[in-house]
Amino acid sequence: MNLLDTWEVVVPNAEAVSFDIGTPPPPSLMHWRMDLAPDLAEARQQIEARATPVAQMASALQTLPEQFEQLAQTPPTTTEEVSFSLETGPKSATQEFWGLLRAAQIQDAPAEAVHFGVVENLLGPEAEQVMQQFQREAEKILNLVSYLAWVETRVAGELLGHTVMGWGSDARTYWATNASQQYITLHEQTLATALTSRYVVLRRLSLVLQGATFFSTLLSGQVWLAVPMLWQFVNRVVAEFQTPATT
Amino acid sequence: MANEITQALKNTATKIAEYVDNISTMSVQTNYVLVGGGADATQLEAKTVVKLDGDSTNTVPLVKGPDGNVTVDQELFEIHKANVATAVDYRSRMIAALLNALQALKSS
Repeated sequence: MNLLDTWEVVVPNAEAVSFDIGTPPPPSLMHWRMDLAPDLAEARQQIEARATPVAQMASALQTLPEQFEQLAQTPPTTTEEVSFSLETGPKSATQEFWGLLRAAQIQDAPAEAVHFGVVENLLGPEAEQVMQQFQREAEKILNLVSYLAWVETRVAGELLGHTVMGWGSDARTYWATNASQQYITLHEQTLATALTSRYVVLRRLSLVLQGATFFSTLLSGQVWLAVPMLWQFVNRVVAEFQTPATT
Repeated sequence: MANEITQALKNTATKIAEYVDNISTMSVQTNYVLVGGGADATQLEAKTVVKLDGDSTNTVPLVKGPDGNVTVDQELFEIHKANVATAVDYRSRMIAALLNALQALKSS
């Protein structure tokens, strides 16, 4: 699940999203909408279903600094350890990472590259594709964190509450006058999930860049070359943590 | 491809640096709105402004009791405090992630 897709870019249509009276609303903002069932138990399950992939990504990201260290401490010593066939693909995120890195290290030595059998693929169109994907995602992430976030909770279509928050945490929350404490909690949980999703995608970008900087020392300091490898590695680690939602 | 990526990384660093530069204050407001009542149907209940230099101002919700005494509306204030706590936590996590990204990009 791509958490970025749970946010929708919208053009605001009300002064309610502006922080000061008389200040024009921003040209666009990121909208997260949760439409809950009137039944409290069902509503809680709906929130849980949205929160689970966010929590899974957060858990995966927590393991990454240690995984980077382990990667650096145990580089493969044989060609076999980093070789994989195009048909079956790499066995693990680690194998793919070292395959890509070794391929990048020997990109000027085509004869050796034959041993890997995948060099032209890894450093050719496929690598470019990965890099383009990274650039698109990075752009989306920066938009996501720079635009105002508009988190809205409805119950059976009726507004319960909405919060507009800037990236620096300027926030304005509106509650329906008839909102009860139980339902107020639901919006607070929705808001927490939405904001955590913004944080984890930014954190993922940050970790990719930190990892790329770290491993670029093995690539003559060329961070740009390390970025797609780390992007692939991080996404595979995250995917391993994400299991299908139970609801 | 190298030039494009390097430029993209530089652009990312510039954007992040702009965000980090603009963090001097944080304002959290809690309002109530009468659903279907239009823009005039909103009422400010509480507001907290926190500045980086440590100053902060609070607008707290008050209620007048039957004896005419004015007291803080605790229920509303608790809701507002939860909003402030969410905002503070979010802000600190986002700034840390942005600074880490910026640090990585600047050393590249």
